[in-house]
Amino acid sequence: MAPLWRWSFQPLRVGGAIYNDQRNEVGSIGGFARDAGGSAWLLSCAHVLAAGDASPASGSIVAPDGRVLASAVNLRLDAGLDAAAVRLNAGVTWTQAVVGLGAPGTMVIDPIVGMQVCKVGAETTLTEGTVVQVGAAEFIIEPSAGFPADYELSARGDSGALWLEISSRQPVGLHRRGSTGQGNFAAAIPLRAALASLNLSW
Amino acid sequence: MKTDPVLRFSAVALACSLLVFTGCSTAPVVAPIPAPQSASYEQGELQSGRSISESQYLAANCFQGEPKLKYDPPGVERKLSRPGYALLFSGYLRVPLWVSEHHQGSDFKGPAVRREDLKDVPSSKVFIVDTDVGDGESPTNKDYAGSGFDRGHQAAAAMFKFSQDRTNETYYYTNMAPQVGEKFNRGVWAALEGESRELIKAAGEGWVITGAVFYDKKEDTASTATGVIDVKWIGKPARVAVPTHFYKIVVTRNAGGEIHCYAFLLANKEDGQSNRASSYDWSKYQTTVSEIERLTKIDFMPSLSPVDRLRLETKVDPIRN
Repeated sequence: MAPLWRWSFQPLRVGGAIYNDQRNEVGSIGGFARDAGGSAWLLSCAHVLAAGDASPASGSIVAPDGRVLASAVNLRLDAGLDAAAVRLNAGVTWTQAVVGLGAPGTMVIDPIVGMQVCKVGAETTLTEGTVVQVGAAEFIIEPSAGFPADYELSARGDSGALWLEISSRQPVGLHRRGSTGQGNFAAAIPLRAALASLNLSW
Repeated sequence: MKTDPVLRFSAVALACSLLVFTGCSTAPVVAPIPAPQSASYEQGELQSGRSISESQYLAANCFQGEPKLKYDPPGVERKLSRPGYALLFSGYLRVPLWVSEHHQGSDFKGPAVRREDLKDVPSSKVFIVDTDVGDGESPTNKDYAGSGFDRGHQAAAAMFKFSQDRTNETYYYTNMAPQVGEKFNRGVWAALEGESRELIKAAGEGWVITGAVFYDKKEDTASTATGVIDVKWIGKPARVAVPTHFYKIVVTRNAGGEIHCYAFLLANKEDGQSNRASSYDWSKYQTTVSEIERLTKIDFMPSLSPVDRLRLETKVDPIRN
């Protein structure tokens, strides 16, 4: 798959690219969640959706074609987890389907060491790995056994992408950071912790 | 750390891991080979991306994917994407490891002039400190002044005659490397830049990838490899590495879709004084992309199919005059 930041999807899809027009750094759509009133929220990382540390809740969330999807005034974020969500504007259509993968599971699960996971991000699209370490705020993924040492798990533009358990497609986490070369790994936010903190449901 | 000489050579293929410091006035200092890093999850970077436009510039200026490093160099690398080129800058060596440009044949004609010829640019501001890299990473005038080396363009100014803005963008210090001046930068290297324009004009469209090489022939053989490549540094303090060689890869595509690939490797030393492309037998400087990839540990066109890789990267494409 060519990088997804080139395209805008209608309805919006998980894995597609978005950015805050005041921050101007592309990230990935991690999913869509609902608040208690039933409104739809777009999930990603705080360092993608927020305009900056000084005034995070400013700017608009925009698709690659310039379409305005949400106002960052309607932002919920957990700076500690680096998770965030923004309420979609009326009329913006979306689907929970992941580009190239289809619908994820409906049950959010916790990462465990040894779990095989995959994600679709706006830059590296579909990649997979194995969970090697789990913490309260982050879990670590490395290339699976038998994969080349320089297999690119993630790259800039993938922040916010949804990590799924490979066989069940149940959602597990939101991609946050990574490293390539020696010590190749990806780090993700547990989705359950993010949703709880943002007071949203999958 | 393994001590097998072949593996040590692999580890220091770009002299990034172990360099003998032979700066202006300081005694030689040997930097130890860094131990291979075990996975440290504290490293890594947040992976929000560039702006859409920067990503577009990167994609537009790279042929068959952006060049990928096949090793983990010390220090920080900065990827910069501008309308006219994309590059990967080494914050440790303070030179670009690769600079990639995409051109139409018509790019080389136009009203743009060299920045030093602009009346409203003082001489101290001709070359531009690049604030898009980390604090203190960009070379400055102080690094090059009195060093005996030219500020050698990697993406050449004359490739952008159609636009003064694009020409000006080539004057960022992140697009420069120390080059021997007379009889190299102002001689054979300038001539090679001219030759690359001729090749692209003839085809109609092309890409150019240029960058620094740190190479010592003794490292090719296990019995003579020491894991050390003598490299000069310039600056006060000395902090900009002087490449031993430079490469230039020119990919051309004609209206019929036919693609050719020409790879050149030049030693950073006095060679030819003429800056005219016609003065040289370029076959003497030609090599294969595969050889340059071996020396630099960079995969220049990672999305090439295996068939195209065989055809374009492993053979020397003769220049038809």
